[in-house]
Amino acid sequence: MLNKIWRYSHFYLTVSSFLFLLLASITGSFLAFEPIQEKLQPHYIENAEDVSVAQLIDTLKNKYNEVLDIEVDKNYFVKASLFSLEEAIDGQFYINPFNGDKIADIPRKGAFFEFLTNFHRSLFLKTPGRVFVGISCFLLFLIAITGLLLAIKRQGGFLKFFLKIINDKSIQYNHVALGRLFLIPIIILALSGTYLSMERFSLLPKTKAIVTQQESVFKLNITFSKFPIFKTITLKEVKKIEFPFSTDEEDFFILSLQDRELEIHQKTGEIVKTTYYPITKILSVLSFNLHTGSGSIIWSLVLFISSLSVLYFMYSGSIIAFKRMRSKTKNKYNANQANFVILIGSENGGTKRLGKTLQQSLLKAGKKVFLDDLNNYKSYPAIEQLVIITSTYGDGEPPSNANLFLTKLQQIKIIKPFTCNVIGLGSFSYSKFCEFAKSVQRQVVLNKQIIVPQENPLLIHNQNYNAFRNWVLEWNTSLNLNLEIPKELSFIKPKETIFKVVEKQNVIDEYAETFKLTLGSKKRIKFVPGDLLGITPPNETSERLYSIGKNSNGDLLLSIKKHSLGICSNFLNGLKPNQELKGTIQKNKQFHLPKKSKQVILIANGTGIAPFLGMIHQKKNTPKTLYWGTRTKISEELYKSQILEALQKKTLQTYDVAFSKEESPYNYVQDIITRDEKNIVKTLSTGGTIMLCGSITMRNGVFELLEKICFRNNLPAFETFKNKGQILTDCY
Amino acid sequence: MKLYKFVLGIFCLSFMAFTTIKNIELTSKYKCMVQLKNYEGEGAYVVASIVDKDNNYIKTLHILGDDEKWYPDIPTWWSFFETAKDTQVDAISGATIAGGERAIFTIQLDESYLTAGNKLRFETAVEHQDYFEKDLEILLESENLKNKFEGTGYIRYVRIIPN
Repeated sequence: MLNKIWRYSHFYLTVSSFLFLLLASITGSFLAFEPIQEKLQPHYIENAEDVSVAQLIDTLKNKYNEVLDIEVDKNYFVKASLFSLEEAIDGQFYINPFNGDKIADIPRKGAFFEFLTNFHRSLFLKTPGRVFVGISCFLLFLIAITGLLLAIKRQGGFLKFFLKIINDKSIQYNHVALGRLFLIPIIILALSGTYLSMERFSLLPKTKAIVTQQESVFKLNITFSKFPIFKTITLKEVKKIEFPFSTDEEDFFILSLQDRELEIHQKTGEIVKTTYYPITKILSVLSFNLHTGSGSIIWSLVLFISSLSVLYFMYSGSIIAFKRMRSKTKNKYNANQANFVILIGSENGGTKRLGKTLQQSLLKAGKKVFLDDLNNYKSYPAIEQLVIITSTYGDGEPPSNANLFLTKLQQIKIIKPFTCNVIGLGSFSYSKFCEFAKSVQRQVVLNKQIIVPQENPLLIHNQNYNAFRNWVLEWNTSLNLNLEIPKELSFIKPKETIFKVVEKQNVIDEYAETFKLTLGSKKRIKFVPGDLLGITPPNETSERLYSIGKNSNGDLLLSIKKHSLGICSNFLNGLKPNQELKGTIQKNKQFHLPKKSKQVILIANGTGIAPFLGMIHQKKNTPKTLYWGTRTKISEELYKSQILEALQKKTLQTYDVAFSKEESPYNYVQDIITRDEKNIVKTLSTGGTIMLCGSITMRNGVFELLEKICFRNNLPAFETFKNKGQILTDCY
Repeated sequence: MKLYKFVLGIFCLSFMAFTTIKNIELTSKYKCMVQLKNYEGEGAYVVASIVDKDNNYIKTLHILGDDEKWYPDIPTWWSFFETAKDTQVDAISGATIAGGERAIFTIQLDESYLTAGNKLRFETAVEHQDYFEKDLEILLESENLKNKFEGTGYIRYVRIIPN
């Protein structure tokens, strides 16, 4: 439950301060450039900070009639206020501390930065604005803390917080990974800002400065530049020196240092009074410097990036919250009426969507369904079928709405026996893939009142909707239900793009007809080989997905096998050059050429070569090998020019083909792999990637072979490479 | 010849027309220091003006604080300043001064002001805090203008010495 408290506080804190934080981080990111711009001004004189106060006073006294004060800023630029009846040397300006020369006038604070500073502090709302900004700043601190607690929970404990965050390519990953990276700068920003606001509204505890006073004992008059204190102190320590207003003895020199202020007798040079600044004042200066980045280009840049990261958190956080809220459910039937109960274990709502889809299908078929969280499990008087769909959180733990389920399952008495199916959702990149679903299955099986038809739970990688849909259809058949379940999980319909056929090539051999479509589009569209193109043939409602390749011109390539009765393949085959068609591009990040991999082996059979036709042209320093299995030499002609071009441009290093229906040294890709066992072993052991595209049969064959190769060569089990994401597949 | 004298006469007269009496008038410079109390909060806006015995503004000599957004917080003076011509304001200097700080500036006074019950008035205002219309008033007499004067608002004291 604690987990939820942090999540809700994290969420509501952000919502309540959203607008102010948004404006503050936008203006803040611009303001980070002010100290940088200041620092780059040419007022700095080399080694200025080493000049002693005595030396500077001597120089100035010789050069000017009267000095009012000297200030040394964070960048060791020296400002002097001079007083003179001559206009040219009257007023405040930057000086060279070595010779007292005027270097430049004090520039007026840039209008742009002044405007922004004002906006940043108070949103032009004067005092009320400052109150809001101050509070938002404190809320930002709380948001950072609650976020930290959430991240610790997600990582599975404080000690694991610093371990690698598993990259499941989700926006949550970005949110968490970036959050961990910027946690400290953001906390510093928030706390220093809060401190400055508190100071502004006099909310800090009153602390008294420590003052030590001394009677003047010497009567000897000496000149300023001979004062012992001036001789020992350099400009590095000085913030400000105020000169005596008149020659009266009661007018002192006031020397402000980083931590204390000295009053110095203007005739004898004795320190008459020392005031040590209270800690609140020192903290205030520190807060100011930390919050504004004053005096440091590097810290200013850190602040700049932190401001931008806050903007990103707002964006990613909104999306996460939106997804979670969308997955809230409404039930038509209550728990007592329902024959079908669907229980969900979900951290972020993705799992709930599958549950809702199933609920909708059952409702449409006229069934009484009840959908709920796993934690709300109780006894259901009318239950016949229970479906449990659950993800796993962190290190094999239940998601936050499922952590009570296993206990409740043991405690609650079952009135009416029922059938139960368990579906687990997860990602291969976690070592404990679908662990919680497995624990649920183990517990459910133990209960004599529950009939469990499937020996193992259905485990789904990366929310693969098709796997889920197939399961539902099987279940439907076994129960004689007549369910209709949508062919795809519609979320946001991707935009349709109009494509134009650039080229079409057919190849017919005695076994099959395949063809290659080259599509161009008027608008520039972004796609990466491995993405999918969704095409809905005319008068059809369901969409077909094709793996996309790319030729060296950037055109989109499809490689399609014509089925004599296939609606879509015949529709596409009927297209002529220059004809137009509509399609939607769908990202398929799991099957992109890896960015960092040292070595990649591409394995395909038949039209599975399509995405690889693009990947072999991608300019990467990664060496690539392509193994392809096809039936006949004629079918190779479709792609040969592409492949040769890649070989020539050295974006592809090795290409091998196996013909299953020709006289050839190798009949199947598996044969080539067996021959190149060494290459496979080297690729796997050095962290390289193997990508497979084509038929399921080919995939199973290759997997079996790879398992053997791992075993023969004393490599870790093949599963390990799968879990590490070194094996990528897109098979059908 | 007559014409020549006439032209010369006109010339002399027109020359006189551009010689204003102001140039003959004497002005004195004073060095002035404003020392603030150790109050908490934002920097103080300080305005030094000459007012006559009936509290009518004659001239503003110095303004500490250049962000006009806050000027309406000094309402008595603001009603004068808003309509004042440039000649009635001498100097606006950059920043405000915070609690405990001091500012030093010069003021230039026509001798003619130093009579007739005119006063040198310091007005102060701090964001979100009180406004002091008469933080400090000094009777404008040459004898009086080398001294130390205690303030009643944010000003601890003002010191003036002739230059």
